[in-house]
Amino acid sequence: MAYINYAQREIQLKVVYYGCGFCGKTTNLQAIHHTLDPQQKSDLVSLATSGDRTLFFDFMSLKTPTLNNFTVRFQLYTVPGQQIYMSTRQLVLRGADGIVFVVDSGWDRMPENVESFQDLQENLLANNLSLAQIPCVIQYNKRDLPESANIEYLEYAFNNRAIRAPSFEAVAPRGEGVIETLNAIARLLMVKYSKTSQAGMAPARAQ
Amino acid sequence: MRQAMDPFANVPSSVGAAEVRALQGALQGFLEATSAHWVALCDRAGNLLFHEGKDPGSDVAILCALAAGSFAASRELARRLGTNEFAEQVHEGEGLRILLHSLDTETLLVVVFQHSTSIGLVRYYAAKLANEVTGMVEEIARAGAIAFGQLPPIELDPARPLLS
Repeated sequence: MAYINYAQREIQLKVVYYGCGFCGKTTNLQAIHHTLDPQQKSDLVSLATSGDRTLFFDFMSLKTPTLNNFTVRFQLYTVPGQQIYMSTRQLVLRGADGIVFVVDSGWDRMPENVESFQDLQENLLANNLSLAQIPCVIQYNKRDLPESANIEYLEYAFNNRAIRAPSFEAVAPRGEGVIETLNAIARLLMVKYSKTSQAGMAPARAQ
Repeated sequence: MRQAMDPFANVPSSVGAAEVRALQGALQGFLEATSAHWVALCDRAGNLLFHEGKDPGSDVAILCALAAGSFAASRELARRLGTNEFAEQVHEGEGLRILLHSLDTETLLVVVFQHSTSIGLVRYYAAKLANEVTGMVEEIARAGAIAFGQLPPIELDPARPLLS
């Protein structure tokens, strides 16, 4: 849950990047860390195995001087994608304010994407949340793969709801679509937590 | 026209500057009694609530995220072993020690101290501090938790990204 730190005049919002193993969650955070102004960001911390697979989470925080006299701190986490880390994902989701669901566009990864999407919904439920309640952005990553699924199919599979989430195409190692995805979830959170109108929000799908 | 946008304007009167000062005073008293370097209160999601003491030499947001993660992992470990959560953890490094102490079901106390400071002393004062501040922390954390639509309107320029 979002938190106002009265002592530091700061609003803290937690965003969790979710998705199957090797879909590019850590690469998203690395690209964000590489791109953003050093004054806005903390170090990127990765709790990973010796083989660079995420063991617990990756973390970085970003500060934005959005409003008069107070700052907003976005705390970005990833979850480990591998199936065996189910309980870890549930722990990282605790207190999440927003979700970025990263989809691997490769056709051969669809079963893993679907499984991860179901896993997300179950773990949200375990935290007394649902996709209908929590601000969510979907990123279709690895759009440079020759065998990538078409966007219409992906939208049908992962964004087929009454209120569709903003979704973005991305090639995370090149930084394409990464900052757009981040700004979409940041803006969505600011709109949801304030009495601001939806004006200026990203369209349901953009590249 | 830009509107007044101070989310702190609506701080509940029961949680004013006096309560925040009292909590900071309690943390400062803890540091004096123990000679610890740094003390922080964070929630189980990794949000920093308060901190006092010397610069710990790292971003405090990262320290709180890692402390919450460490505590969450040990709680899950305890659950799987069929016991209650471990109320306390001590990590020992070459020059420094870290104590993580469960204040209540939502809050953690994180203390960084030197080897020259006795663990027993830090534990004793950590338990004393927990008794002293739990009520205050609960109240301040409750007031700090915000729900959808609770912040005042924010002027968002569609052409200008929040983060770039």
